[in-house]
Amino acid sequence: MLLYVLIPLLPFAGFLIAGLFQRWMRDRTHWVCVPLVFASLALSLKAFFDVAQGHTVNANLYTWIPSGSFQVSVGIMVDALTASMLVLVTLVSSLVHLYTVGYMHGDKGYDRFFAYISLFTFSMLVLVLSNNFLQLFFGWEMVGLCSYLLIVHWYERPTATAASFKAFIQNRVGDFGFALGILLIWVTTGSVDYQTVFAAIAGHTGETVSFLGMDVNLVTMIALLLFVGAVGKSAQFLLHSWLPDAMEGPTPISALIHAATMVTAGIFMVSRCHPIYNLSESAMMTVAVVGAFTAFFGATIALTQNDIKKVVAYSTMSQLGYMVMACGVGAYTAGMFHLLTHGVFKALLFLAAGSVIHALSAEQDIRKMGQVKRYMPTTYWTMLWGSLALAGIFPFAGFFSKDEILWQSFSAGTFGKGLWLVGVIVAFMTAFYTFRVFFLVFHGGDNVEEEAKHHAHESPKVITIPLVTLAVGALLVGWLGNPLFGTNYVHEFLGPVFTSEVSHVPAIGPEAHGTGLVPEALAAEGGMAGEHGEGMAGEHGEGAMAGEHAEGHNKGLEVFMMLLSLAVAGAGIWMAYRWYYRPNEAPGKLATAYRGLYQGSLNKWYWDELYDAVFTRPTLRFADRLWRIADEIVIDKVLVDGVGITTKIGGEILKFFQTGRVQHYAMVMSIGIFFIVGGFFLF
Amino acid sequence: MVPLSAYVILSAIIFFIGVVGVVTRRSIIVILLSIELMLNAVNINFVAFSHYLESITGQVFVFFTLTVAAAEVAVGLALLIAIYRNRQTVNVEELDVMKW
Repeated sequence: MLLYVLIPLLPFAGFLIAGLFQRWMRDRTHWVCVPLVFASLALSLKAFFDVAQGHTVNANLYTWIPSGSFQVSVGIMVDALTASMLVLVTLVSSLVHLYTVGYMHGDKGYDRFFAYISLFTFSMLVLVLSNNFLQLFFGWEMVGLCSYLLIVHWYERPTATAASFKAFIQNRVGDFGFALGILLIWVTTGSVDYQTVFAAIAGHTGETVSFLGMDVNLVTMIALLLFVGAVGKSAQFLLHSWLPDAMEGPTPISALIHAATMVTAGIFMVSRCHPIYNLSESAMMTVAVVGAFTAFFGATIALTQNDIKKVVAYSTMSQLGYMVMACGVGAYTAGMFHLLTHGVFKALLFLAAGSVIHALSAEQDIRKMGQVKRYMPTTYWTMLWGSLALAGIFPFAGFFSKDEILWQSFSAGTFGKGLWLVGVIVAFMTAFYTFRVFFLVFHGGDNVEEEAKHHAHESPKVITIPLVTLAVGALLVGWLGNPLFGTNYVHEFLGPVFTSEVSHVPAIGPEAHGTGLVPEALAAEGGMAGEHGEGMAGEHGEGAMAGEHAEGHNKGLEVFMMLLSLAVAGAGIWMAYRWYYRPNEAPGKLATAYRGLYQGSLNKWYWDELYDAVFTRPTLRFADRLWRIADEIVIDKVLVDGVGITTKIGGEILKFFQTGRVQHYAMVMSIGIFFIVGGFFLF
Repeated sequence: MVPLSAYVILSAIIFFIGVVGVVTRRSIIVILLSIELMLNAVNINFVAFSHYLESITGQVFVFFTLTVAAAEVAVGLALLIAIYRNRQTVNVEELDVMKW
């Protein structure tokens, strides 16, 4: 128990030491922060194995806010969901800490950077360990703050400060909804403790709450308000535009905060609150649609971006959309599984992209790269693995988790079939844009500037070791959730957390051993579309279903789906290969032919411009008016100067009573005394 | 037997003469004299009430008042001379530099 408390406290100690003794630490900061985070990783692994053996923890440590009937404790809850998040967060965080040693070497904010990433790690761990909504909210806000502080790390750049404002403000909009959701939960159940709330919430189905004059279903309202928070934090559609801009921050931050951990907090929260979401059909539907749309929206933008980090950022947004969609169809396990695998391979992609940027003297434009393979073989191979994982190619992690989500959506009725279709289209685009970047950077025409070429070099060990570790992870983690043979560890581990989602849990259990699916699955490696029919025909009717799920899905169909998505991903990669492996005219021609679409995608569908026109500029104008009228005229002129002028004029008039003649004063005094004494006698 | 009210009325009249003198006269000497009048009006009150209440305290106070009045006159006259030496006048209407 005490050991679990240390998991967040160790990085916090790192933050305190790095922050308070900054002056003495300087470029030695990593000697403190890195070991502490690795220690935290070790403890997280211990927690993970404890949970795997069935030891879950839910304990209140002390009473935080004792205020009448409102009692909030600081507590920790370690179950399978938390444990998997703990491992992901500390793993990626410690690798990013290590990577930072190389990447930020010589930066003048080196010590500050370490202090903040340690603080971030602490906050994120508090968020996932929490056993009540208020502590969750605390972590939620803290990670937002750290994100802001780290995006603005290079605060001399105007773009970085603008991006940090944007991130902070958009998150604030989401957090406002989230806070309202928590308030509504408290009003409804009188508690913010997970266990109490989840137990009580079912008793409130069918109740309504008045919202803007309409009667809305209470549980739906709670679920949607909480989801607003998730939309902000996980960069879902409408509050999405901060995430790509957040790439102004140093690359380790993009990998840690804006890919692997913080942005997944929304999905984590929705999964955590599944007892609430499961009660509301319409909320789930909203979640699924928002997720699917975000996945599509992000992918369309990622197709044409020219900044290497922007592509990966939009891809993150798109993948987060997948996870949210999974939550929306009730496939929390699939969502969490994709969250975990995505955390690994997206961190890898970001770190690899950072490695390239680092090697090319901070060049981020993929049009000024090409043939980089020859300078940095390790980065090349790790990035290839990451890209394959993101594209969803067997046997890399993304294949398993993405297919899981697609399959779950497909199984979720007619509505789910629509989501599935969107998912498949997105999978195609994902494969295409991922490999577009990959080929443009590492193959394609050599467009690296002479100056940068001079310094191009493979990154140091501290950078490549995290890359290789994550690359191995990207290859292996998917197997934990392999649905075809062996044990589906992810479902065994996470499934019990979401027991109330019975109807959605995939019908894969330990019984799925030896169904003869192995050859097909392996054959799928080639991504050959031609094998579909065979896979389907061969396995149709194989009744190796797990008995506990009566709805029983068709195993053969699932294999067909896998092959289909492999084919789709393969097609995307093939297209990228045709167009970008060698310099090619085709993309340019296509861009001219479909100018409108191309420009739309390149300009993020003008969403920034829209927000600029609808929110930013009116707000700025309003602020300008306030400044010129309320501040300069009312406060400065009328109030401040007014008091001075009134006093001065008053003095100018009253000074004439000061005649300097003693007898006048004596006279006034006498009259005064006369009245006072007279009044005293009279009354 | 003279009643107490007679003393009080006498005291009030003398005090009022003193006040009028302080407020109206121009010579500082006369103003000082008027202040003495006011002080002595108070003294009459003290003695009268002392007798009426059969308490000696009032009469003791009168001695103190007389002493203080003597000291006050000494200081007042010294100031008066200092003013006269500087300004060649004791007219209070000319001594009005302490104003705007």
